[in-house]
Amino acid sequence: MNTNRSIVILMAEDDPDDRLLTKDALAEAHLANTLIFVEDGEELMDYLYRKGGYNEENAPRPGLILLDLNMPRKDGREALEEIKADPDLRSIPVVVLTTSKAEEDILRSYDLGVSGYITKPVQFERLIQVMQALGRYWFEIVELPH
Amino acid sequence: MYTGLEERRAAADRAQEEALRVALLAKSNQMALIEGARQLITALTQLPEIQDSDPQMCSAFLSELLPLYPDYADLGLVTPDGNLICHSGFFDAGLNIADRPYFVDGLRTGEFVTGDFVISRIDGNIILPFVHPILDKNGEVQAVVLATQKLNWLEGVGSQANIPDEAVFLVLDHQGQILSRYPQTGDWIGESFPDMAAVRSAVDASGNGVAVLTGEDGIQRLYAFSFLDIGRNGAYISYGIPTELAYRSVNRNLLTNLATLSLITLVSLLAAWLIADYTILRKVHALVAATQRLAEGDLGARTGLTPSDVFAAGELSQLARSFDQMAAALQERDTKLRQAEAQYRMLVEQIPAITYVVSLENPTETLYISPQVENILGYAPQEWMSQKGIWGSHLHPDDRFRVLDEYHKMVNEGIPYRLEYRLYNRHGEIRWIQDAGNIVKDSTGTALFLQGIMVDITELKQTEAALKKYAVELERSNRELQDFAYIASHDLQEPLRKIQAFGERLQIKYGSSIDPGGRDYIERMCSSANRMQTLINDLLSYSRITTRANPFAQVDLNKVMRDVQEELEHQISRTNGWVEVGNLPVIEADRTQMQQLFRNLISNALKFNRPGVPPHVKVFIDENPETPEGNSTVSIYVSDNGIGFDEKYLDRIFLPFQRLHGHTVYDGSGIGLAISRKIVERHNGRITARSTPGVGSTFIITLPIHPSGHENGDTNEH
Repeated sequence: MNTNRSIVILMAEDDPDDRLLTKDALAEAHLANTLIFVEDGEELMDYLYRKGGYNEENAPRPGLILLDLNMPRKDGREALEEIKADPDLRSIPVVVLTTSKAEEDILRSYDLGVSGYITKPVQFERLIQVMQALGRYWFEIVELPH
Repeated sequence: MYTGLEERRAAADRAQEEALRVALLAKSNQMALIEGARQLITALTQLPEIQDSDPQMCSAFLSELLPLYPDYADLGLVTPDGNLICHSGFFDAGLNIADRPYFVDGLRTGEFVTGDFVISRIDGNIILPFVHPILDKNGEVQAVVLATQKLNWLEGVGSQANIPDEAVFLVLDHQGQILSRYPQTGDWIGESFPDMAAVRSAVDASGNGVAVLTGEDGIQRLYAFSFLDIGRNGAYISYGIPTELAYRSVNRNLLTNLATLSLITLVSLLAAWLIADYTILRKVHALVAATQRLAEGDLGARTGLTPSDVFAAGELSQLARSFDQMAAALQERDTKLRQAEAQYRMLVEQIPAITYVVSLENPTETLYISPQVENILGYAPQEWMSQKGIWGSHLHPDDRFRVLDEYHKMVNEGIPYRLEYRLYNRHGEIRWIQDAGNIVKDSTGTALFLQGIMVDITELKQTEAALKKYAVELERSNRELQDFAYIASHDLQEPLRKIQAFGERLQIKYGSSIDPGGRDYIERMCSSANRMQTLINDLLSYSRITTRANPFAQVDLNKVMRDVQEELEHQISRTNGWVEVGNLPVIEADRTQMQQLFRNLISNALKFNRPGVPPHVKVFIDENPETPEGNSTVSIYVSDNGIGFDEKYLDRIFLPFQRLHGHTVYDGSGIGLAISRKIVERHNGRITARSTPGVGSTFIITLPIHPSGHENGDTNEH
């Protein structure tokens, strides 16, 4: 459980409401992980490469990336492609969390190597459940590379 | 003034010319009579009845012959001494013509000789004598055939020619003695024409001339003279028109009835021919002669003969009548042909298209082009025809190569062509032309020319282009509308989701600290948000019928119905309902949508039940469809025993979000039937319903069994 706390969840989400709701849901789910937000694909890559204001100190390597697909500047699809093309970053599990239910997006995301694809639930209650499930799966059940 | 004088002079010139022409015609008539006489007498010299010189037989024959030739005073045969052997009855029995100049000439030459006009010693009439010697084997004159022709034709010709008042025909001897005159007013025969010296000086070397002279009756006329070279002295034929009349204007009547004049000439000729072959071929020759005239194009000509006329005998007059009838029939046919041609021409020149004829030897040469070329291309027909190669040079450069290539290919192969191309008009504007033509051949298959028709289809092309543009525009705007519906419902979901989420957060997290009134507001807000969620989802499903469509495949509707019943199992058992399904066909359709369609209809049928009456839904097909499409469609009935509806709402129930009942009584957004109709329409089918309130409803879906491979709407995935 001690190690769990140190695992950072990095969420790329441009919608402040969704950021707030996700943060609330994580709290409600009683997960103690650190949740860090970036607002678009560009910022996500900056974080991962520790550029543009991010460094070893303020940008710890995330244990899980929650990725929205539709974002300004650089969208989730492009960012995902870059992450999976990078030998250092590709081992970080990425779960897509988006409003899109399009078959094409689902197929493409798995093609690019996502670990999961979740459609944003309408009800908050369901969002809490999603966060709980994610926490249990990634931080209790599976073993992640260090 | 000047013009007046000019006109007058021109009129005088024309009058002279025409008077001379009439005189010449009259002369040719006399010459034809003489020719007739020559042939008659020549023929007589060949006949055994004459050659035998048997007075009795010869007399009998000539007496029989004379009535057939009323132009002749007498026919006879004389000895080389000039004594009469036999005759047709009018000569004096003791006649001797040895002293007559023409007889002397005949004996000398051994040939046919025409004498001068003489006054008959028998009755005082003017006659023209002819002789033709018959030679024996040694070339000696054996006998001489004699004929005297009456100078009475002027009367017949004159009366039929319908000459103007005071105009005269005259026959004068070389000294100016009047031999014949028409009209026969006054007793002028035997009198002298006043100024013979003037006549002689008027005629030129060819024997023709015109002079203004005062006539025997004191009237000044424009006389035309023509010299008749007969006998030893000759004679003159003259036609005179009163100067006043001649110089006044060009009067078409001056010409008299030229046709009549020439006709009489020809009839005389015909008579001569007939007698020439009197014994054998007269009918044949008559027909040949007549046919010849017709062949020469004189359809208006007739023999003009009646039984009492020239041919007194029955057989010949019958022939004449037959000839007239034939000519009349031909003329009628000709008239009809002309009318048909006029109609054809009118048609050709009235239709809004250019008809043309092009030479095959030189394809750049237009032989005919209809007047419409002016309207359509701005060139007058003459202008178009005078410029060789004008068509080719006016072809649009983008079409030229293709059109010329196809055109030449088809012309060379002799097959009809149909081309569409752009042609510049005179003003350089583009006209779209549809051109069809072929080679016209004669009955032997020889190619004559190229004939075709060019239709101006510019407007058609413009309309077509506009229509195409409009269709593209419509498709685009339709697609936009679909995209809009889809995207809008997508994007509307986002804020709605927030309203729902934060509403929920508010209820759960702060519910306890808000008073009941506030909680009620929050509840209402959340419930509205939920309803909106339903509406948006419905709208999405509605738009997905076309945006998320699957291609058509063979669908067994029986299987579809089993799946639907399975899906609705809960609703069926809850309402205590019964769904009865007959045997359904296999059709070509989108399976998912068929399931959606029947799920909607059956769910509706179960939903709108009457309180206390368990729903009974029947699904069946019409065994004997009476649709215009016959067997190519299938009509499926979904009937229930529910609440029914007033049929005046029939139009509304198929529109999106149209409901006939309040939310509290029957739930649902009212999208079900709208979706159903959209599905049916995508399958090129129809949906309608019949209903009686309180009894039940029947929905009728007519679907094509094979929707002809064409589906309504696109299958784009979004």
